[in-house]
Amino acid sequence: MSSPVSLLAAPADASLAGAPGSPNRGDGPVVALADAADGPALPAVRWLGRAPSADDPPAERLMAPAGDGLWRAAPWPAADALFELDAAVGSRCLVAGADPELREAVVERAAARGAALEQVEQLDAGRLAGAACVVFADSPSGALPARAFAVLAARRVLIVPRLETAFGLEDGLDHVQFAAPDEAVTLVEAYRRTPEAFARITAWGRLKAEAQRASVVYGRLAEDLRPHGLAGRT
Amino acid sequence: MKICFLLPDLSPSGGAAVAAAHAGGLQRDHGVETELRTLDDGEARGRYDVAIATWWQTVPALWQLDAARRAVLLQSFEQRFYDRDAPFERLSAESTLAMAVDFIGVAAWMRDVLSELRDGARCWVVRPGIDKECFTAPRDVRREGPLRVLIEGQPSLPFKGVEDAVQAVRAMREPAHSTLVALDGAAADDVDVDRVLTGLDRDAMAALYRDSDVLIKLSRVEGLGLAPIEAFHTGLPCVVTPFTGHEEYARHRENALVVGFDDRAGTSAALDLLASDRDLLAQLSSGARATAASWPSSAESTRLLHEVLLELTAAAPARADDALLARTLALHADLGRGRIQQAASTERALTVAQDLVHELSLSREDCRDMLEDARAELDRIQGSVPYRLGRAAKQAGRALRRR
Repeated sequence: MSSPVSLLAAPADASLAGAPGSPNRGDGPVVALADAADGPALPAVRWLGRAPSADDPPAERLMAPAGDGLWRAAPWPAADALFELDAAVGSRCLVAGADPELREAVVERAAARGAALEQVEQLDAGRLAGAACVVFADSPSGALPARAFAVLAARRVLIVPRLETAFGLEDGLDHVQFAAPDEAVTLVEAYRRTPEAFARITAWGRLKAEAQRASVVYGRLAEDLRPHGLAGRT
Repeated sequence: MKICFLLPDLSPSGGAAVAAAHAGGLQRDHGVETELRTLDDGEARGRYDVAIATWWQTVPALWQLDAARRAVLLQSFEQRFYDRDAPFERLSAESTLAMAVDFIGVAAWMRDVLSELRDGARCWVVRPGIDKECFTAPRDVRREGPLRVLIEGQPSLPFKGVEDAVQAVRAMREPAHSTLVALDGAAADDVDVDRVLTGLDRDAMAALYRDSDVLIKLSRVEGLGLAPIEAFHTGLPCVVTPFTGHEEYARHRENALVVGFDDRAGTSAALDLLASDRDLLAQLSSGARATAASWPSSAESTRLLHEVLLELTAAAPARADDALLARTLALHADLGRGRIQQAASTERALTVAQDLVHELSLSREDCRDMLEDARAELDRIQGSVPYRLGRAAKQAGRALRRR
């Protein structure tokens, strides 16, 4: 399958949000995830996982879950392959995300309560495959973390901080939100106690992730970037 | 056959309209004795072959009726109407999915979800029909003038995304004229649109669709979302978020533009594109009519419902799913526990803060007492003979130095 876009991404990011086809170098417009770069050519779109900053590598257009001056506001799509991952086995729970203080706080509270959580700096498809549940210590400007849909596509339980911008997700239906590290740990403990009760959450999460399937999202993005498409101005 | 639909009340709603249309059609075209009952109606007389709940609060009332079969007309997963601050409504609404009922869903995705949640659930799909005599009359796409944007939804329901739609229209670069159409005027007064229309009947809705260039619907929660498909019948394309149910009819760049949730810039760009590219608007309008052509009419939909009812009455009565109920209770208990622990921790923090405020208040009173004592002491000193003599001597000394 050829990709509708030519994707520039670190391997870990590509495993979570890459377009179908391998390698992800289609003939379409260049989309760079996070700060990936390849020579001096400007990507048509840089899709950040956080709000933009002045130090970001240049691009013709910016996308991100939050921030000012965005061409589009959106979290990253979910790689098609994640929808085919085997069901979670065991109760391994990862703590990921871009806020190291919050990550540390969740792990610390978990340790104090005797719940084992594994902290990872960089989530990827391999780590996701080995987990049953992911706590994201990350909500850029109150928005859903960029990599959240990858977790949902893989039918893993997604636990995130309270959100102001959820991109169509519904707290308590397809994912769960926490107000403080202790609440995150309570939710992990609950999942471990009765994983079958959380099957409803992962089923809805998978359904919601469908609209964020990489092949669908990149296909539309490529169409929108065509002349006379939705390109608009940044 | 004798059936009844159970409505919460007679207030107008899209869901009640679907039930009422079926009730009329079953009686008129299929000889089914049909009643529309509300929760306030008195005791029912006689036995029903099928009693059909139309809203989660009407499901328990099915057992107050003498009915051979019980079913739910599933138009949405209604726990989604409530946020985390309404945990009991959420639990109650979701629990109805485990009861001894069969389901008649309005969209295939609902049947699919239900079959995942409830093993062996019986769910027939009957898409709501469209009155094809009313929602008709091909329209010509206007080649110029401001884009006439029709926003559909109840502004008092946040999950309808009305405010998002209004903001997106306001942020357009191309000229536009916006109309909000809602069932009732609640909360519509403060909406920043050019025109608000409420309480329209079907004919007026059809005329409104024909007088618009595009329908925008940015819902977050829908079972199906009937307005876009009604609009398609008049050749009106739509801009929609990928809400549940949209996939039943909306296809990006064929009859609609599908935009992301919470993406105001992208939504405004989609509207601007339609305003500036009327060929695309015409192409989507043509796609909308093609989609509408394959959508069932009201009569076809009710005929299918009649077949479903015959099948349903021939089958064994539905059984409750105790395992699903147990899982639902466990999940809500767990989610509630997290909330309660959080609330308890907030309460503890408030108690600590309150103690500190009390302590500060006591300290302030102590300080005031000390200040008053100090003032009294100062007055006493200033009133004493030695102080007054000393002060007089000091003033005399100053006077001598000045000379």
